[in-house]
Amino acid sequence: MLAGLVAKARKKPNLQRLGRNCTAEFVIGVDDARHHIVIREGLVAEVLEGPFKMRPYSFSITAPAASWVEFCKPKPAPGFNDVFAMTSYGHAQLEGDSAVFLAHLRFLKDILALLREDA
Amino acid sequence: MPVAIEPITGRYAHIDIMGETYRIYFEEAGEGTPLLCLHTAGAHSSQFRHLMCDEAITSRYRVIAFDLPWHGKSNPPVGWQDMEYKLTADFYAATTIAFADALELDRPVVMGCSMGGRLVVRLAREHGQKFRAAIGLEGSNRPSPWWDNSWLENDVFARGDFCAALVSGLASPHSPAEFRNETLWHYHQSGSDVFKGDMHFFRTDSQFEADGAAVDPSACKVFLMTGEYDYSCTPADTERTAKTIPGAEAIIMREMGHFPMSEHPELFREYILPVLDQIAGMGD
Repeated sequence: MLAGLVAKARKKPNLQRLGRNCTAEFVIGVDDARHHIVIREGLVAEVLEGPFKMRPYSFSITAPAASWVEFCKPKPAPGFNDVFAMTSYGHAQLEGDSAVFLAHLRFLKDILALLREDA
Repeated sequence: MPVAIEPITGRYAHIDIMGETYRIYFEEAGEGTPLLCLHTAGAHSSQFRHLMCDEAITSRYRVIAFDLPWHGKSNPPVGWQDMEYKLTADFYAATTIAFADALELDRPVVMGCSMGGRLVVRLAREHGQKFRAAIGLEGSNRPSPWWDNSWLENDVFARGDFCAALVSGLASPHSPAEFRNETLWHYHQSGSDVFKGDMHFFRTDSQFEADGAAVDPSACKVFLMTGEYDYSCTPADTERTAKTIPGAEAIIMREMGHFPMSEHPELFREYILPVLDQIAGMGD
């Protein structure tokens, strides 16, 4: 699901412009696995797979693998088409410092939308 | 090739609302039964442009939409720079009634979306004799928050790009990208903290559960129409609300999101035309 995310983001100059003031690290949780997404000035710099020992991050979005599979479809079912749809219906959890997510909301939601695109 | 000009006209009216005169912008098209349209929070009357260009509607309905004070091309009150905008249920209802009275609309159909869809529940109860029908798009009778109210303290609500991103998932993935993004542009255009001010009504001051039972369906029939992708006003919220209002009809719109008239106009007409037919058949 996260394969090729770094390369996909580099192909989107407007996405980098939107996120030019965003430097942050957040977590995508898939079942029990944790993936750290490292953002530097609008670029997806790295996707780290761990193992981690208390590595810091600002916020996490975690969901069962089946929820992410539905989220990643071109036209997801109702309740799975957006991170807020998933949290609203309990299909996913947003935890941690949501202020970072909100401060760069359009940019970070556009990063998540890249998960729907082929590598 | 002649230039394409839409049949919509826009004008300004000076209207007294709760002791203050407001300069209100409104657009309209068509002739016949007035269809008074209320836009969503943080947006403006352009959301209804497709209805105003649909001859199947404008041949028998006068479609009218105004921008609430602070929104679109309507002014805020004089002295706005020293105020915090907070929409109340009383002001929202009074504005809608004052506009309908000022334009001498004869028992209009009132149709509101999202916060407008919630207001129509109250209008049907308090002013049922004034409206021949009420259509709540993505409407319910009480707040059902999907984000924490503490977020409202964050400065991001002053930014249009944030407001648009907050609501972007409420549009259906089945809706055409052009119209989804146009709908989001309305949120980008919003004045600073206006969406936040509307949230005072939507999240705090719109508990209308007790109102429904008092609606007289012989005076004002209520239709509640909600998209299956709406997680702000869910289909369950809508069906629950309809059960509390005598004679109300709930219609769940397949593949639709929270902004039916602006995010997917072609699909919306499949749902709204039969409702407008039914209202036309009720007579005066």
